[in-house]
Amino acid sequence: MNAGALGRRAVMRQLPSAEPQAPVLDLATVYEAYFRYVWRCLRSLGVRDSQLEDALQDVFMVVQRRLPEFDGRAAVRTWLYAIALRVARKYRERARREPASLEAAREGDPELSAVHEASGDAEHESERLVLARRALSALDDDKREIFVLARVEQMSAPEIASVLRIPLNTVYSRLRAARLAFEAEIARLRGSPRSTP
Amino acid sequence: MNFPDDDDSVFEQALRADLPSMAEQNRLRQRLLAAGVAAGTALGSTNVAAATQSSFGATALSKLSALSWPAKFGLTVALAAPVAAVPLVYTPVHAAELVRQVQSSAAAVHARSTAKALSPAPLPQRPAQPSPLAEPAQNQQTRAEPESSSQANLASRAATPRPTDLPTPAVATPSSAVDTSAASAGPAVAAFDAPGGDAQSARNASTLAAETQLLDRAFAALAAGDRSTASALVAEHARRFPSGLLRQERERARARLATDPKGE
Repeated sequence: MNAGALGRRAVMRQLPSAEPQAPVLDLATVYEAYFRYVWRCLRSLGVRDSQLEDALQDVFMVVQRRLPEFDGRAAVRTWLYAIALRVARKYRERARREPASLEAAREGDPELSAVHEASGDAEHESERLVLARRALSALDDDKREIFVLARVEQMSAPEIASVLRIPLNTVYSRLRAARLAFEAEIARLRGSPRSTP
Repeated sequence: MNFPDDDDSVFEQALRADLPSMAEQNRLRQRLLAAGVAAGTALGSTNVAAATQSSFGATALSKLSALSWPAKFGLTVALAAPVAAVPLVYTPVHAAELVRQVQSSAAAVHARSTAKALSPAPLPQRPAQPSPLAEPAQNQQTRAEPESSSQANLASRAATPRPTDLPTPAVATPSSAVDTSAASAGPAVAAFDAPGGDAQSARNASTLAAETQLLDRAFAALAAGDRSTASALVAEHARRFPSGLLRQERERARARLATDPKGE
């Protein structure tokens, strides 16, 4: 991911005098470098569109609050995605407790949540995205998280192991299972005719 | 990427390409900026929360994050006035420094509120330094609103009652609290009352909140089997927002009402 390379070089700077060795993160720079990817990550991790802004705000508030504690030993991206992952879990859990909502109804109907105003290739892309998001939502949480981090955010296996706090071998095996499940779900969705209410 | 089977599917590519637009990014930037400035550096301006909550500080951030999004949106709009009147600069602040700033700010606000001054205290006038967070929004704002329209905007503001005419501090009158310094130094907040696209998005957001609330209740009523309530709410939505942003959802609710006696 290009934001990864941007990572620490762009985001870290040194305090001028008081703590010459202590790196300080600048919230504005973190935001500029990573906002779009956090947005995408939260969406892919199952945060509902109606709650996406709240979730983003939560992520960056946590970032702001914990900036002074960030010691620079982990990559900024890893640290940030770990925060986003936990925020997304919180919102998914909250959504499960409130199923009878407009958003739940919308998510059950891809035609409503998709944008179908374009034509040609753009339309195909839009439909692919709808299919992909539906397939993602069919995965269980473990598979979904690892799939998003690896295949969407393109994090390395060691980074994922660090974010999810699981052994490296588990990363590989779980990702393999996640990809198989994702592809199976895509095949199922493409094979089944779209149901209309 | 260091996984062995690295062939991308078009669906993975579609997920990766699903990124926010610049407009969305700027809009969220304004919201985050308002919340970030309020928590970090701008409590020196008149802020009801600071006046009433002396321990406002790091713990307030977690409380803020627990609010529902309509509440956060409202809070952001309410914060727009004090934010507009101070330079929009964010610099990293260590926790101890943050607590010290917050305490001194809260004390200053408390002192002002107990002095029963009817006119708002002059806000600190520091030289405007473009924040990295605010800079792109400022550039965009400059493009969207040339100097002449800024002056026209200021002229229209001059016709509105000044804060000194009113018995409450500036926080209660956000539009009148924006003085000339806000036009040059406050891109994030100037966008709140800027004509054109941003104003339209603000209206849409406002409509969306009301529409969402109505239809959310309608779907909840449907799920609970309360068809009469659901029907009334759908009808109310159709009456208030005939061409609303959520008309498709309204039609879906109608379809459910017509086809499924349980509304499922």
